[in-house]
Amino acid sequence: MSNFWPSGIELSDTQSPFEILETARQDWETNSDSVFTLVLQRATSEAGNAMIIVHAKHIPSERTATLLSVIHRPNAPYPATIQPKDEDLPNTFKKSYYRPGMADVSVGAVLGTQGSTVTNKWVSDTPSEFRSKLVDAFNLSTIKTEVLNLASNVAPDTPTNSEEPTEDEAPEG
Amino acid sequence: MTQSLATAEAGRETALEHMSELSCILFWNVNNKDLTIAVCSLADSTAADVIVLNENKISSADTLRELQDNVSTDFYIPSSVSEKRFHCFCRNPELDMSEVHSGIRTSVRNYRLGQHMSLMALVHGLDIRNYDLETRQSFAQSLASEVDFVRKDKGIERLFLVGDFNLNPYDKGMNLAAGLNAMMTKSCAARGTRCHMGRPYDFYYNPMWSLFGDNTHGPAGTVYDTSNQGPYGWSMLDQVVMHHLIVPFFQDVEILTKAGPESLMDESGHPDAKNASDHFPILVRFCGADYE
Repeated sequence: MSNFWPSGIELSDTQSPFEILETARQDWETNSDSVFTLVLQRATSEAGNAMIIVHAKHIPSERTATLLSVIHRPNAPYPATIQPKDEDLPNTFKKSYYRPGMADVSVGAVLGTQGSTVTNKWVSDTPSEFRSKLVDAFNLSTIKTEVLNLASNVAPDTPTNSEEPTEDEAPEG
Repeated sequence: MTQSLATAEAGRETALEHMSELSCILFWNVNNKDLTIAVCSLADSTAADVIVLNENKISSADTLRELQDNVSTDFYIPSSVSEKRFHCFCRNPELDMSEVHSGIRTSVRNYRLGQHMSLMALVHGLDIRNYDLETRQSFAQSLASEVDFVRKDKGIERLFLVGDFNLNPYDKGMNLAAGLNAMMTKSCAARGTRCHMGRPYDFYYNPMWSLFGDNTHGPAGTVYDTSNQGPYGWSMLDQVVMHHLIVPFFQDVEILTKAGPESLMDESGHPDAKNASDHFPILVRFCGADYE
């Protein structure tokens, strides 16, 4: 029996990224006993795309922290891409990261004669895919620590940074 | 007539009282060097209430100890959960300075200006070495969006930004409506808002414009670089930018070239990157009263 219907599409599931984030917000409130919520901020990216910036809010202290943003085209909720906060972290603070070796630089790439496929693991084409990647993003260690930092009560007079920067932290200027 | 004179006199007295509520913020990108001695000298000579260090390789606990031992035991580290990027020290608890939002390369603090609670956003823009101008301008746009969110979320309109923006005041990200919308003069910012694509954008004021070039009291910028990353020689990467509602509280901003008796300049008058930092510090003064 033939099946020409695109796989992965379910007409009963057409939630937009914003609606899924609303569900995530309710989930955060339920699971944290209303200590945390998510604040969803609509914005426009410089390229004119729709952007949803997701902030975590610690309700008792009202402190907030930016966690990630979601970008999609203005009138098309998919594909949607997630930009987690950790993209900006120096390697020192990442549990794992990719260090390119000499083998990554092919002669063709240097001469510009050969293309290469770049995979963006944060792009979703469907609601179910977006849900799955959103779970992954919320489970990034940088986001977890951000949430825990918000929940921790740091009193004034407490020196909060005693770690020395390591040598492989790139200078920024 | 007598009553109006008395009222004017009372107003002057109130203004004088508020003059004593002057608060000073010292911001310095110390370029990953141990400049603790210079930081203490600056804290002492400027009597800064708040010291913010960017790219400080010395732990904030150690810097605090030096400030307490050498300048004032009143110094403390304000409540914060993201102390990695900005090392912040305060000696005036009335200013508050507790962190209310941790963003992407930003930290937003409560900052009390006289009777008014305002917000201070510390900023470290994407660096010039690793990010092109378009990417840095895009950062400025998301920064504008972020501070807009924080102002609304906290219900506080008055906000100012201090830091190393890694952009000049004339770069698009700093002055586009959808960017920081920061104008050159107070009178431009006094209009309050401007409309772009049917949406109003609040004006900000950038006093760093006034410090450019030869015809100023201090150096022509905060950074000097003649490589391809600095086509104008001087750049004004370290800035204070304020929402138009903050302008009446703004006293002045100064680029500092000395830390106590020690010069932070080389023999050419540029930042002494060898013995100090490749950035000059800036000192921002606010007063507690609205004078305009």
